[in-house]
Amino acid sequence: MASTLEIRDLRCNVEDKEILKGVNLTVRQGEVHAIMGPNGSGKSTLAYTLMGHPRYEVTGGEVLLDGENILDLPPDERARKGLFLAFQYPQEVPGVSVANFLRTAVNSLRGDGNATPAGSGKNLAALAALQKEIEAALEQLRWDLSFTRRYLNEGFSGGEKKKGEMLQMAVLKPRFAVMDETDSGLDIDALKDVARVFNSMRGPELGAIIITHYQRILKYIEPDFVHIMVDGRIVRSGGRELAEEVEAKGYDWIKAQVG
Amino acid sequence: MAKSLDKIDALAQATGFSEDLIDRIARAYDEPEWLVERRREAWRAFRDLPLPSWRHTDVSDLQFDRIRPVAPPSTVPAWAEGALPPAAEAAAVAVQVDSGVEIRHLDPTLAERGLIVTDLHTAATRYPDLVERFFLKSGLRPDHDRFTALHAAFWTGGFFVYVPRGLVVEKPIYLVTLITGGASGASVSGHGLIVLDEQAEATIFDESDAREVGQAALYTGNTEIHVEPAARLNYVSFQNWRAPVREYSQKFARVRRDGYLVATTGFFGGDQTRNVFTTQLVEPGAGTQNILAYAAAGRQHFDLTTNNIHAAPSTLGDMTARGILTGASRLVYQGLIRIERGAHKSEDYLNSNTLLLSPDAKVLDDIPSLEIEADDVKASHGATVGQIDQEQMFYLRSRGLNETEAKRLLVSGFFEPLLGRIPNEDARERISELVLDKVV
Repeated sequence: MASTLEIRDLRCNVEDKEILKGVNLTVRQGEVHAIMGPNGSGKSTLAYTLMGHPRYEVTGGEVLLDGENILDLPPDERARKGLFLAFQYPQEVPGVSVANFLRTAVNSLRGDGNATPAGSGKNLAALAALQKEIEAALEQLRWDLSFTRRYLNEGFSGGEKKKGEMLQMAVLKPRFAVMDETDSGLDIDALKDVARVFNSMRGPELGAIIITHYQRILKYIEPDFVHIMVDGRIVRSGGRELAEEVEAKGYDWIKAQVG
Repeated sequence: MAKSLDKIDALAQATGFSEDLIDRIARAYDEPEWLVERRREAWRAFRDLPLPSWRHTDVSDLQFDRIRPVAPPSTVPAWAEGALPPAAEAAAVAVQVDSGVEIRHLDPTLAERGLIVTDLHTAATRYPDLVERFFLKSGLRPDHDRFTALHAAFWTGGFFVYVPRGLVVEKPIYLVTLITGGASGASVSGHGLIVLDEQAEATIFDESDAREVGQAALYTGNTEIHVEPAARLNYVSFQNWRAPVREYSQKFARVRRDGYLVATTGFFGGDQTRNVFTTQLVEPGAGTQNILAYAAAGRQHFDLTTNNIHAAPSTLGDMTARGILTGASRLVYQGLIRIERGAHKSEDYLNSNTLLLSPDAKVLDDIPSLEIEADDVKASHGATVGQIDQEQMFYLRSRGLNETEAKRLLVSGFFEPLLGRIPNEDARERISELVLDKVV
């Protein structure tokens, strides 16, 4: 049965300023939702709040994953329930190789919660299977294995960081993924790489929220639904045509309408 | 061995540090007169010196008259058996338990070629010339402070390692020091004397552990290292007292022409630990790399110093110190590069980095210093103290790592630059394990 991620009247403060002012959105596994909106509308705040960043203070509403409110769970438990955030600004983690990180994360997600940094796989077959998954994702990103020996995001270009998020997403296989401006700062080839990985994962197992300022990425990842966020609320919802309308008329048109 | 163990056992009954006790130790081990004389000199220094008043490390509560001056010898306890390296993987295995020493293994082929691994008492009677040539000749001075004087007057056990000219020892030599319940409230003070003669090469693991100690034991063991011309030593030392031990110790290394010392030391255990590691590069072409790792937890107090002294031209040094503090632990770190007059064309670089994992942990002092009296040298130093980055934590936790797993991964990343300098894979793995044990 398909899982459901239901955001109900979500309100959130950042440093005592209300940023989310009652967000409502329901995403089912298998659906791809795009959230578009001008800068400062609360799109990234929504992404961080869904993942449980401690700096974002929820003041009202709930986020239900198959009916269970996840807002009291720490980020790692949300991840274990199948939530994933592709960061707009992925953190650099010096001294930790991509391979080591992926093994540790997979052990944490799928294992008993006693992962070791070395990812000392109790099960060689599982390790070999993981290796295959990593290699398959690398191929879609046009990367070779040497990439996984680099330290996580350290010295990566902007595009490499975003592609790295997609590599993690492909390996960690979330049920619900939030992609926070994954398209920003990408050249066209990198954007195609990102879309290729996403589209290969697309299917009944994956529900996704694609947060973007521009509709460029939506040419490569076709959303089922498009939502427009303004001033902490979703003010319009529709299909692909809504993105095109925003592209043609700009955000001021909607801002004027919702005034 | 057993004979001297029995003899020293009687000493456990003696009360108080006294000149009489020195005579009894000397008689028990048939020590040569020159050696007894060194003990007596040290005794006079011990008698006359006050307790040190170190700036951040308070020892004023130590009462020597309440410390049993010599721990009784003991045999390897069950908890340590499993951790001893198998003979097949070692050139030699020597174990000091409280005040007694057992030589567990010495590769007979290497022994035939002149490798000596024994306790220092035996060495002093069997190889008096060698011992006299190197004992207390590294720069370690008995009158340096009261603990060093105590050590030089009353040391028992200890190791003597001599790698003869040109011998390359492939497998590691293990020197293990264990403090057991028998040493509760007692003084343990072995003397390590390590000599690599010309063009010799060896890897030495010098490890220590303690368990089941009730009342805190006092550890004042010191180590002297001689790297003779063109010899190469990879020296690895881990201190992991897992019981109440107060340690005041020094390591002195002397590196001669074209000799090279890589010294990796790790401090993980004990209540209050003060250690000074001084390397002197005394002839041209001598080099050293000093790698210091530490991880303190709870109320542990570490006071660690590394000194590189360049006393000759064209000498090369490098010092790295890196560690973590958790709980309410305390660290004092002092790193010194001294390039003496005439030691031109020398180089040395010092870097120290501490990561605080708890708001209650503190670096009391982190003092890198340069004393440069020569021209045409290259030297630099730097120090950082940082905290766990909360954005990194969130990033890792969003991938499913719980708080401890995320911290461990960040800590392992933090240690990576230090681990990358260690030539020995076993040493890298041990440091990782010992560090991560502290991140819970």
